[in-house]
Amino acid sequence: MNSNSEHIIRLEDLEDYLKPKEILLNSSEQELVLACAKGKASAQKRVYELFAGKMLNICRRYAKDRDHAQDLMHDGFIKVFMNIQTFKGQASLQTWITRIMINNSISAIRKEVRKGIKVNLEDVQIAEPEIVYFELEDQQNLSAADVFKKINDLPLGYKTVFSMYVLDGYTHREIAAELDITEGTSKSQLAKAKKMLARKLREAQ
Amino acid sequence: MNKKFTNIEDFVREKLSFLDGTPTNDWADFERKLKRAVFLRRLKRATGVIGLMLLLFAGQQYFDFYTAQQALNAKSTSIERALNPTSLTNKHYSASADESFLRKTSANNEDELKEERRRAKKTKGFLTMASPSSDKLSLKTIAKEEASAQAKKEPTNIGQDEEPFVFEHQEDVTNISSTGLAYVDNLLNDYHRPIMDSESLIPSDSKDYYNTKRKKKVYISPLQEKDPWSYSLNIYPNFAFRKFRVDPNKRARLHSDFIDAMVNSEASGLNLNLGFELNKRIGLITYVNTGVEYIRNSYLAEFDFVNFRNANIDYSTGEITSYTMRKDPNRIVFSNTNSFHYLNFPLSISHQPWASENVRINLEVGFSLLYFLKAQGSTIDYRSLEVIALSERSYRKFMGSSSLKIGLQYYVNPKLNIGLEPTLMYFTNSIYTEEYPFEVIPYSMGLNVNLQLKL
Repeated sequence: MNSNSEHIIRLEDLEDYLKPKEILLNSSEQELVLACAKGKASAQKRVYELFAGKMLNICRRYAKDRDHAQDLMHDGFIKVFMNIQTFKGQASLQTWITRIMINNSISAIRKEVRKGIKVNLEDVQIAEPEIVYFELEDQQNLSAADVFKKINDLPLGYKTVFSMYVLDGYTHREIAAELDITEGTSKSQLAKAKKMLARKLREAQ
Repeated sequence: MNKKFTNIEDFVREKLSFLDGTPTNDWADFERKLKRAVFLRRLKRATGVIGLMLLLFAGQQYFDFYTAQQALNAKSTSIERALNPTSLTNKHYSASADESFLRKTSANNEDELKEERRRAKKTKGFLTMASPSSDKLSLKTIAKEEASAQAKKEPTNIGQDEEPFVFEHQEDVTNISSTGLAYVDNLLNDYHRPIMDSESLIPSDSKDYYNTKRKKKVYISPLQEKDPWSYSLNIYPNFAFRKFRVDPNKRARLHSDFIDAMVNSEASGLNLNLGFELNKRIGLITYVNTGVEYIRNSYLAEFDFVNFRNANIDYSTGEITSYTMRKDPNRIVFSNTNSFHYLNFPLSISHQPWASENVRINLEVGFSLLYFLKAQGSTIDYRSLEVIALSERSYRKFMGSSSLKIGLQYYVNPKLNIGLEPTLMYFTNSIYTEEYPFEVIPYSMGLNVNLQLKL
């Protein structure tokens, strides 16, 4: 009995044993949202620490560099905390925050992307087939960071459409609406992005 | 065994799923931004609420005042109707004719009728029956001019006995339509209404007041200036909010350690405006305004950030080419009150209905041209992170803006009024030149507290 009682972990001591992230994952998301809506800094800090890393990666897909991505992420989190009372829990908090980050990033770079796309008129007019010759083995020497860097090296228009379509699940119609371009242009940008990325990845192997 | 991909999309998705979020420890920076954003939002909401309350208050005042005016107008109208000669004449004599007509139709005495005919002949007969044998009654005017002349000759007879010899045959008149009574008016065109004693009960100035109101239909307070041209001295503090963001194309001109500190620094400021205004009233309560204003915009430049690296600047292009990490991070704390000075040349149209005798609503739309005079103070250079004087920077000389103001003015007396005006401004450009790495969000919200002295 004595040995058993020594192993009892009280709930209030849980924080000492687990990292804050794990505590949050086990606690009610709704309570956290409510606390944030009331403006409690501790809750906001926890949400920020929980999601900032992932959101920074998302913003980096659209930003020019890390500092720019950090600015976008901060703006996005400000929108999150300013509007968190509108979060109804229909999706997970992470999905909701991710959507805000993507929308915020796209609206911040929309003008630049459009300008970048329209400079090259052939991109606007020629919709290329989406089938791109690609054959690559999942080799150890090509890390996630390397792939990420190659995507970031793409021209802004390619990178944005590629990220929206492949990584964030937008359709061409949605991309066209978001960036104020035609669906054909979106398809064309994606095809060119995949072609260029495939070449870069093969070179990096 | 390595997995083989033929679809680049699947490959990228799978690879990036292993990409962990890089931990960030910039909560302190973010918290500062968040607090500022929350503060600005509250301030904007407060400004909006104040503006809305002012409008509601003005609307209430306007409604109360005009309800009272309408009641007064209605009262005046009823008094005037009672005394109005033209409206009274028709009704009065129509009624008289009706009475006469009824009396005639009820008369059975032929002698009386004969007597009436005789009297009609004596007056040369205003009306005769065109076809007395016909079932239908048709009346025809004979010698209207003569009738008029007759009426002029014998006005008192008509007025006194109220039997204007209208109908020749009693039995035919029984079914007369109301149109027939129009002839009564013809007979009475030149009737002069006797002056009634009760008319003298209404003061002559209230009749004038009533007539004036009915023509204009807009209340003009006695505090409104009489001369269409007016000149005034305006003094008003104005708290305005503006937003800066990094121009993505000019990021290379900006030290990375400085971005957050800079964005937060110049977001809001207090303006002090002193101006001479020339107003021309182009309607009853509509004005064209112009003039010249001196504007002093001051803000607190306050930075507190850590400098981790030194920028290597290519001075030929003005861009930062690379950074050298410092051995020891350097915390930079800086605080200084800076000011920008302008001359403003506004041109606006304002509509200023009176909400009550002292309170006036101001709806104003206009444009203005700002001429940059000078900048005073010091700040931190966004590339080198050294303290520099603001005057060392280059600025554009002119800045355009358009504005929308909705406010209230309280007239203490015709010469002095105090105003409260939430203002939304849109700037066509900023004073910063192309080199400046921040772009200014062109909208500005402000709250003017205005003191106007008419000259």
